[in-house]
Amino acid sequence: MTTNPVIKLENLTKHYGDIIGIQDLTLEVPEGEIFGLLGPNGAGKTTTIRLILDFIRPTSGKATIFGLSPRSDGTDIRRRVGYLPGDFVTYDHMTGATVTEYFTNLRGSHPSKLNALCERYQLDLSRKIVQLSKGNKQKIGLVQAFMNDPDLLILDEPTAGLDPLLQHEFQQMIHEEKEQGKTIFMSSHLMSEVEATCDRVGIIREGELVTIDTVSRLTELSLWTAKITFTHPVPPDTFNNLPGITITDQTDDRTFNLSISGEGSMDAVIKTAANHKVETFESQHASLEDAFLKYYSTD
Amino acid sequence: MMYSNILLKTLRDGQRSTFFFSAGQLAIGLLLALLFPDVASSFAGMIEDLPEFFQAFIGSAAEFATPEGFLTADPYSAIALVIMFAFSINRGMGAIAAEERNHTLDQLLGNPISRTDVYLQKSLALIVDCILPVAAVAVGILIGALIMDYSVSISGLLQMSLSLLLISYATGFLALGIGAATGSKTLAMGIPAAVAVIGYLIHILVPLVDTLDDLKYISILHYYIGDKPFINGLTPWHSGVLLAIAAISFIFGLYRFNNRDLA
Repeated sequence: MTTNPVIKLENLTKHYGDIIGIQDLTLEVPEGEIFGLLGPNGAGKTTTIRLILDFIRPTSGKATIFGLSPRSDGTDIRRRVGYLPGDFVTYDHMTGATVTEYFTNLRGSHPSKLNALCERYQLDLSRKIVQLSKGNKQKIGLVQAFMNDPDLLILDEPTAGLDPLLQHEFQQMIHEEKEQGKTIFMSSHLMSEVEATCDRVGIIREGELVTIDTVSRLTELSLWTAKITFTHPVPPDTFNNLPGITITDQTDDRTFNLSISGEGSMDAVIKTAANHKVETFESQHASLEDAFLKYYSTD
Repeated sequence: MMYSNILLKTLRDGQRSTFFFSAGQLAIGLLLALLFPDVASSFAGMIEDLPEFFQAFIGSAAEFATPEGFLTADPYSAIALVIMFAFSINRGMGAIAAEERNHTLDQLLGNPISRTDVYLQKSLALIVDCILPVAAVAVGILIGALIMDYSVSISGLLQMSLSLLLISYATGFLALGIGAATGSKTLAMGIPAAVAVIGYLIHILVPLVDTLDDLKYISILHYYIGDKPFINGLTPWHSGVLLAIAAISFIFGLYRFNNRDLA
């Protein structure tokens, strides 16, 4: 981890009365990293982003962005930030052109990427926002976040409403930003999106950071899944004594779905299975989704 | 140009409704000024026949016979005032609370601009916005008086207009301050509307019931028109009360807006 992270959260906590928004969130995002905060709706992703941008104030803990305090140095921070809110809505009566003009003026900087972005997303800025589909509104949101070439992009559910082609375009754009040394902090509930774009991911559950690691490491944590069908019934405890092996589903006394993680080994599974007559054996590398579900299924 | 900053955008967003409100106010001022010569004399006759307490309520026959007295009763005590209540409360509520409830405030504050700056520019827009519809009433009256060939006290009209502007600021900033403090459109509209309606009721009831006289001080209308500025000029401390309501609402709203979580 670099000594001067772009985003540094230390025990960041936000309570809404008795309700926990986030609890003791600690993480660092170094310059040039794409960091994904992954969790279902209500897990605390948007709360974290709104704390970073000083829209809400922490109950305890601290956030620093570019080494500055969101509370006292908010305008200096936001000058270097491109922000896409979740469920992006903007002024319905304005056109895309006037919305981007307005935010450019508020930023006081040249929207160097505006034309390229509009071309890329085939966005017609002359239409009023109220006339746009949800996907096109989201494009406006992305364009206004990226157009001033900010150092840090904070994106809350960035591909909501975008079709698969545009989602792919977005992923490419994120990688291009990274190549230019930009830092990206994004939230998502889409595993595939995070897997395709992020260097590291934090999985957040009920306001608490369950784990934080690189995407590859997280998928390795749930290394493989295996589905074994035997020709005859086998004892249900056949795989019970193998470390790191979890039976995720057993449809009948011949078919076992296994998850092999941590200290578990495929070799042990195969050798144990070989004690019986195997009809079929399928295995595949786990996805981030499996890792995610693993964390969410653990009480 | 119109989207250079929050102030200009806010004025731009409201310009159409400001225009229509102002056109309406001008028409009201004009119509009543045109009607004055005919209506006032017949009204004065009617008023003379009314019981004294009714005269206390709507003004004496002698007052009604003058343009200043007639125009104080209507439009300034009635329709023009109600329109300014609606206009200023709507604008005040729309400044922060509506932007917050429409979920555009996050996006606005995602730019390098402070909450204080947003608040100040929205406040300035409210100040500017109220001027045109208030002035329109006076312009309408002047045109009407010119057409019907009678004179109106310009000084009285200016002071009446200033008083209307001040009460508009009082209710407008009450709405803006409450909206900024709570983020609630309902409260931002409801509380100032209640202040206006209750003030209005007290204002019309107090002259009818002697024992309620002291209640007049809790009516916002007392400070607006209690001393009839069109006829007698502004009473400084009355204007001061209206300004104080606006200023306290402004400060309260700014403080809370800067220190609360946004919805």
